[in-house]
Amino acid sequence: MDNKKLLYSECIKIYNVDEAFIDSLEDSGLVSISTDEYNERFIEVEELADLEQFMRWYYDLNINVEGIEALYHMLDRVKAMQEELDRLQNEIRFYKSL
Amino acid sequence: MAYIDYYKILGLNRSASAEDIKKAYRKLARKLHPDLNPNDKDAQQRFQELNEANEVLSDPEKRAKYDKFGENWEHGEEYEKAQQQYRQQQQAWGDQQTGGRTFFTEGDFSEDDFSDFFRSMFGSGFSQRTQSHGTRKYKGGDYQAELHLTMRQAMQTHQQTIAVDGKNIRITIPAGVEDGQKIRLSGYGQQGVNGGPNGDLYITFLIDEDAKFKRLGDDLYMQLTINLYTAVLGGDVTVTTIDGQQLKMKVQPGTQPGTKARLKGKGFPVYKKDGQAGDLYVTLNVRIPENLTQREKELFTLLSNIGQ
Repeated sequence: MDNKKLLYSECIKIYNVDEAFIDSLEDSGLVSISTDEYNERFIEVEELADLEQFMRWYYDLNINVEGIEALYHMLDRVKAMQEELDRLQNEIRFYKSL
Repeated sequence: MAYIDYYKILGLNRSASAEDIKKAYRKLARKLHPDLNPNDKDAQQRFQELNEANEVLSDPEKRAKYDKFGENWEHGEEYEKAQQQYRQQQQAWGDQQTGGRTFFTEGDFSEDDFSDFFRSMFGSGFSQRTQSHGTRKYKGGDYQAELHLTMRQAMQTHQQTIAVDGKNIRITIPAGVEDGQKIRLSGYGQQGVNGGPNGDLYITFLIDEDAKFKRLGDDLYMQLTINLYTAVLGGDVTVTTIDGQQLKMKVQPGTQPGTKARLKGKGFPVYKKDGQAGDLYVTLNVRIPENLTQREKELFTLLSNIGQ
């Protein structure tokens, strides 16, 4: 796993995003923010793709944090079901080819 | 280039208010946004159309111009061409007359506005407006690509070069990728907006079928034909695995056609687990002798009589 981190304050600046929004994402467990011994807050670089997605939903689609939370979990399930579907299709193809 | 009815895309009529446009856009964007429709090319296409429609109709200036030219946008393009020609002539001749301007412009838009209008409707204007109106940085769009591999290619970690947006990218494909499996290459998608990071490249692997081996997960299946005598009396046969290894396999006396033997760890490599592999299942088929000689017939008859 990539352990690169981005300073929370940098992240706010780069994305020009409200702190309150990221904090509420953290409260919902959608992003995790770590704190070092100097009380600096960091976001894992690995989480930025998800964060950008949440920003698009929040700012472009006007979906609130509760909605984002529900959507995120639903999409997770869709992804898992898609993987299961792919696996089953591969299995069907295998048995058909026998 | 065909005329695009932006109102139709948003499901509105021409009298729609700015608030109606905003609401219709958000409603459709929630439905068609690529984040919410992964792998749906149709939704992606419709979302692009929706964005373009919103780009024009949510901007009062662009909307006014769009409404004015509407289906006759081609004439507008002719105007612009004529205007460009005119400007070139003016430059070439050093003519200081400005009367031409009133000839080419209609209403109250300037030359620059006019060309912006067409750019915004049919291409690059979208990003320009986004850049000038928005300050937030956005990640660029993701690319989706498919890569065909043979089963034998998929069982080895190897490198391949693929062309994306005119650039060659060298990727390492880990052994054991499955048919339909998708990997993400961060930063190889579309360029970010307002200096945001690039999008990602998603590659879906399509594994071609193999004539000899069938794959189910990490296990491989193959058929092996043995002769009647080995099936009856037992013996050793040679099995060639997918990576070309020659393995000796014991056949038990009295082996029935369709018997399955398992060769542990001789199947497909497990994805991202070095040194681990599934099993190879060998289904044994028995070849019945044909065109028997007289002597063979006599011996089979003898056996048959003994058996009865």
